Order: sequence, then C-alpha cells, then structure tokens
Amino acid sequence: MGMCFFVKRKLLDFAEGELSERQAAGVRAHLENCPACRGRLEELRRGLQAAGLHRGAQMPEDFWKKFDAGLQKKILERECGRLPRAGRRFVLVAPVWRPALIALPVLVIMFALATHLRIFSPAAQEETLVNDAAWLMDEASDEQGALSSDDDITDDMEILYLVDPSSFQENG
Amino acid sequence: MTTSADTQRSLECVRRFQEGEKAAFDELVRMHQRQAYGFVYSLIGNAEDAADILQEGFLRAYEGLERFRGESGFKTWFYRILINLTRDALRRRGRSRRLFSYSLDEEDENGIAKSVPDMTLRPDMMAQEREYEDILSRALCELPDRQREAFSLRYFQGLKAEEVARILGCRTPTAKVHIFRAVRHIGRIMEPYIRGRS
Repeated sequence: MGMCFFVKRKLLDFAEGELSERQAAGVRAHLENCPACRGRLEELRRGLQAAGLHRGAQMPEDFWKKFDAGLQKKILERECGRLPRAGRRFVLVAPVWRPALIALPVLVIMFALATHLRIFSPAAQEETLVNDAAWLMDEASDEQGALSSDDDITDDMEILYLVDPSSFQENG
Repeated sequence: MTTSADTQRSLECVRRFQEGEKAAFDELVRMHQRQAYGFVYSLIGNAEDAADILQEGFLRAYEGLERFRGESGFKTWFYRILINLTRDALRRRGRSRRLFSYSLDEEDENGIAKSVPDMTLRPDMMAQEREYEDILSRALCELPDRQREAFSLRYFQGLKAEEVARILGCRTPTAKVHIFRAVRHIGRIMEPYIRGRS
C-alpha cells in the first residue's frame, strides 16, 4: 500500500495513456494488487469519459450578433467616458445622424472654396476687368453729354415730364 | 484548441491594436469569443451570466491591452481576466446549493465514494444530451474554483497541464493535482449517467 502514494500521482497520466511503457508497466503491476488504486482509476476513467462526452455550448448566430453589438456599445460608452464633453455628445448622437454631422462642415468648406475659386479664377477676373472697363467708358460718355447705349431714355423723359410738364407742351 | 499559429495571430492583433489600429481588437474578439464563452459557461453554468462576464472580460481586455507586454500569450492573459471575473460573479451570487450529496474525502477501503449521488438525477429520468450537459454543468459547479477551472481548461479547452498552470498562476504539479481531483470528482458524480449510457 506504500506504493499508492506514488502510483496515485501517475494514475491520471496512465488513464490518459501518457506514461512511458516502462512506467505504465509499473502502474499495472501495482494495480493488480491494489483494489483502492483500481477504484481510483475507474473513477478517473469515468471522469475522462464524462469530459469527452461534453459538447460545449453552441450558441446560434443571432446570439453572437447581439453579443457583438452589445460589446461595441459598451466599448463606445467607455471610450465616450474618456472624451471631453463635446466629443461625448458626438459619440452619443444616433449613428444615422453621424454622417450628416460630419458632412455638414465638409459641405460648408467645399462651398466656401468653390465660391473663392469662382471669384479669383482667371476667367472671373477677366470678366470683372471687362465690366469695370465698360463702366468707366459709360462714365466718360456721360461726362461728354452723350447717352450710353445702356441708358434708358424713356425713363429719363418720364422724370423730366413729371418735374416740368409745361416744357413738354411748349416744345410739342 | 489553440495552435501556435493562433497564438501568433493573436499577438499580431495585439501589436496592431497597440499601434492604434482599433479594428484589430474586433479580430481578437472574433478569434476568441466562442471558445472563451464555452469556458466561462462551464465555470458559471448560466448562459446569461456567461455572456455578461465575457463582455466584461473583453472590455477589460480592451482597456488593458495597451499595457499588455506579451510576456504570456493573449489567451493566457485573457483567460486570467475571465477567471477573476467569474470568481467575483460567483462570490456575489453566492455558490448555488449543493446538488450532490457526497464529499471527495469520503471513500471506503476500495477507494470508492461512500455516499451516492442524488438519485433525483438518475439518467433514466432525463432526456439524454441536453440533460447530460446540464448534469455535467451542475457537477462542475460543485467543484472548488481551482479544480473547476483546471478541469475546464484541460478538457474543454484542450490545454496542457503546463498551460493550465500558467493561467491559474500556479506550478505545474499543483495544476495536475487540481485536475486529478476534479476528474475523480466528476467521475463519481457522473457514474450513474455514464453507466446508463453504456
């Protein structure tokens, strides 16, 4: 029975077939004369058999989808806790609105850039120069008493008539 | 079961995460979640609690991964987190009432348990597979923490005794003792069912 202490330590490896042939032979020799160790070995074999019959927890795909979504939400909340208040607000905005929140400043910047480019593009600058030149020419013609092609004579005559209708009757 | 390729892949994901690639964490989750769930479930025996613990475990991993130095594998490190969370949960919940009426220390001169398992759990009263898992799960809950953890890591996760020892933070011979006692205990509890099946 004194051998039991040593054999007991090897019994599990013996049951699992992990002992060398020499060690296994020693254990077998002891087992022939020791009912207590035989009983222990039986229990170990049943325990191993029970473990072998275990199928594990097989969860459906839906379970993992929910699990992943829940985990993402929790990670987001933890991340959110580290952010300053403004950032926290952004993270807490419903996901559908987040693209809109990002797109808005981008659109404003793009509009500003487009406007800037339109004003300062070579074509726009040339158009401005032409307009300025035309305006200056009109001014110069006015100073010389001539009417520019753009002036509306009818409007001017209406104003003169309203100011002094008698002069129109005299002149026909 | 984890191969060295899986271990390398996990460490690669950890490195990418530490370099700022947050998506690498999702990959880690996908790689480990199913096996880790089975592990936690075997320790706690309740699907809802197992999912909560696993989520909390991943959260802790997410927060602590920056400090992970790679001295052990990711799985070893992560499973330690899960074990601690499970122990806390069991402590909070209070250990479920004992279902089997025998003690590991009681054996006759032939090394056989003196008292017999609760006969309300006789196999002929149960629908086979589902009930089997249920009994095994409850039998595991009967074990002391260390034994249950060692048993699950060794036989459900397929780890070697050395890896079990690393996760449990003890020496290999100590881990082997935990495994030995756990297997014997499970063998006694499951005896009627195993006999019924054969």
